[in-house]
Amino acid sequence: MKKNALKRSENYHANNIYPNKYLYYYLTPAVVMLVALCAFPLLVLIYNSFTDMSMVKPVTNFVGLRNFRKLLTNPDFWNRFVTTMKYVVSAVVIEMVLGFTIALLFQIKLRAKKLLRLIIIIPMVAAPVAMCFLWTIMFNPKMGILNYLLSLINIPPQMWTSSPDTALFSVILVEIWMNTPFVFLLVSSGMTALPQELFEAAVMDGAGFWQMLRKMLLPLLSPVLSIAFLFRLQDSFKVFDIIYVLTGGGPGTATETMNISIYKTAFQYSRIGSASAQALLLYIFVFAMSYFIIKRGNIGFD
Amino acid sequence: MKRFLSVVLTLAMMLSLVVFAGSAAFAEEYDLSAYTSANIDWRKFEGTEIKVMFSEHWASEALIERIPEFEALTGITVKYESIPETDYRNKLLIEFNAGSNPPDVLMENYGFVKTDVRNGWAADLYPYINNPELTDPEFYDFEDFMVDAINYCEIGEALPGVPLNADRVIVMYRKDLFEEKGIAVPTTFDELYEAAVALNDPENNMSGFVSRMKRSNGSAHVWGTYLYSFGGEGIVENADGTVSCYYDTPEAIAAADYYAKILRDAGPQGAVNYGWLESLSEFQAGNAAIYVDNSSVMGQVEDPEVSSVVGKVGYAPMVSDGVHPSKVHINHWMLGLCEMGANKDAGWYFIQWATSKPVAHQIQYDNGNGARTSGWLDEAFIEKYGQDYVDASMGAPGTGERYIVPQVDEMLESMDSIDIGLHRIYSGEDAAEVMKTVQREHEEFLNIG
Repeated sequence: MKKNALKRSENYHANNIYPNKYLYYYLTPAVVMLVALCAFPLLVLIYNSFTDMSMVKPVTNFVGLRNFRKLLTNPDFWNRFVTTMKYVVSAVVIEMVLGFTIALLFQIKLRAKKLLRLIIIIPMVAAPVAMCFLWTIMFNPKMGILNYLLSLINIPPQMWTSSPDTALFSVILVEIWMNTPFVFLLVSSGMTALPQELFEAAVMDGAGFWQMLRKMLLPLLSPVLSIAFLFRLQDSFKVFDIIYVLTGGGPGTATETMNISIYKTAFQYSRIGSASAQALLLYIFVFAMSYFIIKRGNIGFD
Repeated sequence: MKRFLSVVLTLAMMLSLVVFAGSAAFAEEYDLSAYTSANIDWRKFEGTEIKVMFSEHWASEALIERIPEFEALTGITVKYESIPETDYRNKLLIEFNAGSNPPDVLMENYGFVKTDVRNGWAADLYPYINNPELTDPEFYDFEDFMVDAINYCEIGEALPGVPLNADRVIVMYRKDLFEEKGIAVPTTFDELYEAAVALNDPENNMSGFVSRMKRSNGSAHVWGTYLYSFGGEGIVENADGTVSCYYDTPEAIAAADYYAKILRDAGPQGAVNYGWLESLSEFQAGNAAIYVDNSSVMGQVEDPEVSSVVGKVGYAPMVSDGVHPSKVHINHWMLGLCEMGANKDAGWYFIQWATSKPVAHQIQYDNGNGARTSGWLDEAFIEKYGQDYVDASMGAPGTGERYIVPQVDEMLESMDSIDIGLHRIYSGEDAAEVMKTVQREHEEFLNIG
């Protein structure tokens, strides 16, 4: 980032718009905010992860790598990691495909397009916790609407969030319902920005639908798709509200993701040290994945 | 001009609202004679502001309703926060650790007081109770509190809080359904199971049995009643100050297996997502025949506005296995003072008022539970709730004694571990294997062995 800014400012300097010597003054407020709000808490987190800090014990000791060693040798930690990966991969893949497909369908001339679009983005704009409460009622095996609908087509009632076999599936369902509109919105605005003539020319040249999709639409949209993918990936790793409201991590530990576990360790078990270590591991993992996507995905900054 | 007019009109309307609202507040007069007869200078701390932290509970709700009365009596301003039970402890710990603006009065719970006394967060109340300048012994009548409750709340020589309630795990059952099927009130675990299965009728939306199993909902404490009544033990403090735990004993395995089995065979579908609120709603709606939980829900079971089973409910003491005596969980929420609070004397006035006979009796009459012996002997109270309820919850002979909840820093972690174990057994895993895991987890975070 900084390198870019410098390079650009040299250009500006050449055009005599901004004198170079003021550059750092202009950057100061942004840098101060960034340090205060991101870098400082991160440093505190890193420090805490090497201690046995607890909210119920007055003395905090430095314990070196003990928190990490304990976590990495704990099968529960790896179970949570697998649960998180299951959640993230299935949710993000389905959201991307579904969002893209709906955006593509919206390219067809329709009458009630505006109204439809409004309806589609409702899950995204509504308050997540309130929506999740609605879902808890719908998931209720006894009086929920979902089992009623299933009974109409002769499918036996399901346990949804109440059984360890279906709980993860149920929360992923809500995640997809809630976040597909985001992908849809991003992709469809990307589509409208594409030059119409290109596709007209392709049709003239006799290109088929699949050819256009693979050779033109996807490559042209790849920056938008990468951004959407990046956002969804990061967000679903950090998912909290949906799981907390729907299952609280249960039944048993069926839906206990890493983020839920961090919350429980810090605020229920009061173990700040161990929670910081978990948070740091999650942070490093998400950061590495994001870095990879930014590097590989054609996102637009060099 | 139009705009000016509309602004003036809006202002006038708002002003009138404020004036009327204000006059309405002033118009309410309180009958303070019950307090003013006491030998206490209630106006001593007039003008002080105290900060109170409540955990959401029927007892705190009832107190919050009466705060204006306290303010009228003393001239002390009360600023309060009421936080859901699941987040309360967390918020309290942040307040203790940050230390910038600590509360004066707070709600304490038995499982936490030892930690709070050790860390110097909870103040000892005996100096306040025994100070004649702050407390009128005749008016307050401290001896009236259940001896058992006070002994239980004490940490060493210190009393970190005055109990507000005595919620005891009892059996609530539908008298009409029991009569219809000719089933006797259960006294053993086997009878309880048989009755629950006999009354279970999912086709007609009737569960035989409801109780808590949800995570982070105190389910482990309710299950503790089964654990101890099966003759088992949980976390036990040894004489030398260390702790031991016994979650993989045959008794503990039997208790966990029983609890999962009765909920699987006679409970509502998806019992793992039933906390006390869900269980209570099912029972209130008339969709459950037997409900085992803390007697704190009593007021809501017998409230005709929210319950359709008023008058149809019988109350029985917790069952046992026929060999061991039943040992039940009795929960006390307490009002305590924060050691760091700036206005502890004024805070004590609040506690004294809130746990005094006039307030406590009224709250107990409305909600069906309290920690003062005189409240349970009150004739109007007995008439409202019935002698069987009073017997079941007062610890009359044969109703079982309490089991001691572990006072360890890791209590919430322990409860979560048990909840997860119960869920896994409920889902069909082998109880013995699961309880081994629970034991291993406990040994790990309690640093045993």
